[in-house]
Amino acid sequence: MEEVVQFALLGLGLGALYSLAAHGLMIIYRGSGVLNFAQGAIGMVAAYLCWDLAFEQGLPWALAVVVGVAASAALGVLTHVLVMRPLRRASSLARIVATLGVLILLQGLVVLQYGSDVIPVRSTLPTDIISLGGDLTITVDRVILVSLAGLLAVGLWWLYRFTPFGLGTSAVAENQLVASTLGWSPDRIAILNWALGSALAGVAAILVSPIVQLQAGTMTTLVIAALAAALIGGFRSFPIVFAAALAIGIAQTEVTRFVDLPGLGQSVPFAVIVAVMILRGQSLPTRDFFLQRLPAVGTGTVRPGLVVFGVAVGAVAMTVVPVVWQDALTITLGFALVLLSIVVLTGYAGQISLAQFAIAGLGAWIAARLDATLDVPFLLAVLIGVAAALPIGVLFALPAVRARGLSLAVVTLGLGTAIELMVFNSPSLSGGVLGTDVHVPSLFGLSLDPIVHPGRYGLFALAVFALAALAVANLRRGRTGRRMLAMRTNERAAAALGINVPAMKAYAFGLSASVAALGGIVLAYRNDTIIFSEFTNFISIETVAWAVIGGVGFVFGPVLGATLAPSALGTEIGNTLFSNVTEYVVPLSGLILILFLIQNEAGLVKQNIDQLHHLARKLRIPWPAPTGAGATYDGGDARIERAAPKRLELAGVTVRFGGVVAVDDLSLAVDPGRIVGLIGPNGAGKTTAIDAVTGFVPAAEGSITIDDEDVTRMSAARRARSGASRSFQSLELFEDMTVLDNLRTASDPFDRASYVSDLVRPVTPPLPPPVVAAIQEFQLGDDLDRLASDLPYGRRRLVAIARAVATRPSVLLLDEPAAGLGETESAELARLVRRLADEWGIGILLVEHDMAFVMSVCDELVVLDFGRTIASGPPAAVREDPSVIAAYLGDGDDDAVPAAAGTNDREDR
Amino acid sequence: MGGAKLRRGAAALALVAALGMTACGSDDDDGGGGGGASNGATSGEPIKIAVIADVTSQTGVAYPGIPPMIERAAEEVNAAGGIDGRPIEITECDLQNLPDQAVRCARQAVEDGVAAALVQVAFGAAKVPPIFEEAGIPYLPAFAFEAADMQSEVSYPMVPGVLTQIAASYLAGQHCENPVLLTFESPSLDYTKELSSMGFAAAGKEPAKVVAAPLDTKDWAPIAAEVTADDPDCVVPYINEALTLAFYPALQQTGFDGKLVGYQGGVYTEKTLNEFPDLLEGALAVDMSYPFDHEQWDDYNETMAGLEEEYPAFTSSLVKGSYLNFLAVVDAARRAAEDGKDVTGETMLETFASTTDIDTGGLLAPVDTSTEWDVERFPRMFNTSVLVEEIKDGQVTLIEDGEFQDLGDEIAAVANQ
Repeated sequence: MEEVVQFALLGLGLGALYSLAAHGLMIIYRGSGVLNFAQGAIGMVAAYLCWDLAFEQGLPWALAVVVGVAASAALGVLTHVLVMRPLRRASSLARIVATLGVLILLQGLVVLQYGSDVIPVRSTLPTDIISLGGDLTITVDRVILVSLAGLLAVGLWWLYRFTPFGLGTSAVAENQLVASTLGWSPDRIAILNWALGSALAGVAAILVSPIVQLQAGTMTTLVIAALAAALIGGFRSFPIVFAAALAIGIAQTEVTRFVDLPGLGQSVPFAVIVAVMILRGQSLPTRDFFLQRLPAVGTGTVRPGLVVFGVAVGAVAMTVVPVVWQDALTITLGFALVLLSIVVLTGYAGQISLAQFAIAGLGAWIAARLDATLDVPFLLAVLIGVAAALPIGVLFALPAVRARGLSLAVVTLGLGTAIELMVFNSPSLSGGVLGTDVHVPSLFGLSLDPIVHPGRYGLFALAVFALAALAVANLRRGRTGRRMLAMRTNERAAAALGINVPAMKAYAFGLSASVAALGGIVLAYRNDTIIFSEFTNFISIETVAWAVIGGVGFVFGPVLGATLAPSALGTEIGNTLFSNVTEYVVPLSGLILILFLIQNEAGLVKQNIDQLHHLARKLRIPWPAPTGAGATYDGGDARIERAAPKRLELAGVTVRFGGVVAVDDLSLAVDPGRIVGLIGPNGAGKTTAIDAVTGFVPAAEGSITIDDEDVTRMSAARRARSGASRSFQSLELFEDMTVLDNLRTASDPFDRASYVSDLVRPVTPPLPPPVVAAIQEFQLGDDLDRLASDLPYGRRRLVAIARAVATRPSVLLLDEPAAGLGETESAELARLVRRLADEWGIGILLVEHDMAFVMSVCDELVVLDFGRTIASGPPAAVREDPSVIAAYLGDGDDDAVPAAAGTNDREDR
Repeated sequence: MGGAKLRRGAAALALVAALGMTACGSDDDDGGGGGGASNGATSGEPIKIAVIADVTSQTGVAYPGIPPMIERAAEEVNAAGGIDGRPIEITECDLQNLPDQAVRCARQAVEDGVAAALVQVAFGAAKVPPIFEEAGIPYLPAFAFEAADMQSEVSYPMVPGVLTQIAASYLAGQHCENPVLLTFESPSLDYTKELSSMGFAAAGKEPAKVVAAPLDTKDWAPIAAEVTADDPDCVVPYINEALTLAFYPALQQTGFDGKLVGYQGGVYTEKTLNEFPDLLEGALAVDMSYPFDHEQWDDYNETMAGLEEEYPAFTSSLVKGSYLNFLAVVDAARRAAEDGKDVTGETMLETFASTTDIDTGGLLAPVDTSTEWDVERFPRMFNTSVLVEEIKDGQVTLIEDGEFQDLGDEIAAVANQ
């Protein structure tokens, strides 16, 4: 027992390190929304500078510390001003990658100046031993570190809770736009937080350098582990982060001491991350969450001539170039496969994963171990490795159901690191120091020995990549690709169209894992002995950067991005041209990465396409205009098919948010062909009621039925498939997709076989007659090939409704469809909505503030106020109801609820 | 030959394109690739020797001193007439601490038509042998630890790291009652334990308790606590200098007053000796060659004057090992030339296979490369002799009369069980 306590005390030191690192990360994230992977590198610069000044130049230590911390603060400010500010409108992925560029640049510069050798640092803190009774001891420097970390947590809590700067930071973190209208400058807040967070990184690095010593990459890996503590604190609470960091440090130390399983102790922070995300996360974003913008995505169009030409050029190159270049090309293709998996997962599905290279290694591990231990033939081993990676990818998807964006990135980083530590570095699992000896690969009797026939192996890699790329392009053009893009852009809207978001994520993770596994196998089998510890998870982070550089939404992007991988084509070119200045290449590559991102975050492929377009225009060469994938609309069959008649009924529905009752005992019914208006003052609970009906918030009490089918506990996607479709107050269109693809996504039949068939032969079904009718009804024919984001506001509103109609609902829930429209547009829309009920037979529940609109179309009104129903009945009656008038104005003004032309006609329906 | 044309074209392009970079670049006048040109004392087609090393590194230790050191050594040989009048030419390839660069550099060496390769590789050592085996070129690893280096038919390690690992435990077995071995979690953990067990068994002792520190350990205090938990009289560090520099402060904080025993490079390096003289007082170490400040190295130090200040880690065992390998290659090349053979990879292999006393200027015991060692796991352990050192008053001194101790028989007896 005493030993357990002793090691807990020892773990406090590690916990203090994590706490110091995590707080700096949090400050920068809160102040600017950036997960700063360069945090450790910035701190490292301070530590080296302090050491240099104090121990080499002989300056007083205190002065050296001040200079070091000031330098790190200045680096932070420069990073924000020169890198992050130009990228403020870029995707979060691009901003993460930019911090990676800063990391590479700073690390390279430090190595250039001080070398990569370890530099011992003498402790300036006292290291005397304090006896705590029995054999329990702790050293003074650890006590100081823990105390400092604790004081810092308290100090930061106070700073961000009670000072104007702190409140301003919180305001900007919640809503930049609103904060700026109140006089807070987001940019100034960001600068100050970058300065403070980076200064803290410097303080942390200087304090811990006597413990970890000075070496270029040490602080960076410390920061990755500190992410666990930051995540537990939600990137918000400094005291919780401090406590979590100590707990993680203690747990890690205890596990390392008492559990004899290599890698388990180091995996503790990551296990914590996964557990927290699974327990805490939400399955669907809340109303105010928008999936952060991701870079551009291609159409997946395959031009057969270009493909044949490209493959032919690659094959010829692979055959004629010297062996070292063949190797470089093969490595490029192997990494291109890994990057292709990122196109699927991040480019198409919008899921940020920092574990793809680890998964690639797992695929290689499975294939190689089967080969080595069971003599499984090469091709079969490859197929099994690829197939087995699929369920592994699905496992990775489990946290993704409840985590997204930054949280998901951290979780996957943790999982990947755990794989590296516990599998690839395990002597028993990896084959130990001998590695895993595999047989010479062969295909149908033809030797692919990479030592003897490197060209053949390279051709094999080329063929594999070409096939995989074609499959991914097919995916993009098919139904599955549309669903993925829909999910990537807006999970809520995707669910509202019946897309099972968790299943879609599982598919994306599974498929990408298989593609990554293929890449891992191609890379691993270049050697007859495979050393799995080479599949480091830090390369997983770098693969994301390379994918972004190449173009994370484009199938050809991986080919360009992969040239940047170690020992790939870029390295070979660099070795050939700049063999004398290798040490400058690394910091230069970091600089180039940053500059490139600032100049074009969409990636090389998009840039090249745009440049070719420009050139074609100059030379007056016809160039096929980019269209939505599979976007042929020829008018088609515009029959109006009446909806399957279904009645929506709410009985005593109550929705609570904590102690607040947002909707209280709401009962109403919507019959086929009738329009029920749900009105009330702002905050009455109208949108919440729609959210409850469509499954976006749970009903605490009551029941919701669609034609006697109880949907109360069903997911949003299932309710959509049961016949209830909705539009959103904030539209929530799929901005990255064309209007036609928005409609196709809504109308595509749900067919499980398409998950596989789309990879081979994507079928674009003809537009169903109701969709064609909707296009004509909403006059969207000329807008079909335009991106939704490019349309004017009024047209976007129509697209939102048309999309909901394209799902062929029996019940349609419209949330303020006329918001922001002018009088004429509003009247037109009202007539359109009326026709949906009369001619299409759709039952409509309408939430709207425009009383003219409401009065002109509704058969019945239900009025909410503070969540309670205060009136219901025909519009004319409701209009005169004193309680309704009082709710809107509070003084019984008879004109508070205006009539609209033709109102009286609605009383008879 | 197509590769040579490509390289010449690329070199021309590099000359133009890289002017800006080289202007502010390295002040290493030895340059990359092609040291040791012919002079008045030599003529004819140069004999190429490849130097493959981690000259630069972002994440691990780099040994930028290896290529210039070998080039100076080559210049000295050329100044004395080269190999039968032919100059030695050094080709260089930087591994950059990247695993796949080992393949690239090995292939490059084969394309360059080298007669032998001196290899120092941290990552990807297992990738090198198949390429040289296919080409029929001998390679000499600087600190042969990987199993592949101990088994490949073209590997001729003069400084087998495997031996020092076994011998370190043998030494600990001789001098310690309750030792603890410190290593780190990695794929080679079981291998390390096995080598250590062999050493203890050769000394007639049971294997020591092993503490394996996690890779990427940040705080070594818990590790030091675990190591000293049972009051060992000796700690046997099987870790590299980078980890030692982090571990020793933590060990000092525990108040450990026992002995450090192991191998040179693990127990001590010049840097750790300067930093922790008190902790290392009384330490024992095995070494393949003489201590770095021993008079046997005087000629070397004179030749390499100035390089130690310019390049970090210049006195490391890997740098020394590379030099010893170079001497072995020169000796083998001279023998081949004396036999009237053209010095190529093939003839170098023949020469190694028929020589019983490779001469490295007395820095190693004469190495019989004609006969594989009679241990199935390590047939390429030609050199089984070590020196034993003790650290006294901050100085490294030889014990056991300063003579090489051949441990081949003792180790073979337990290794074959």
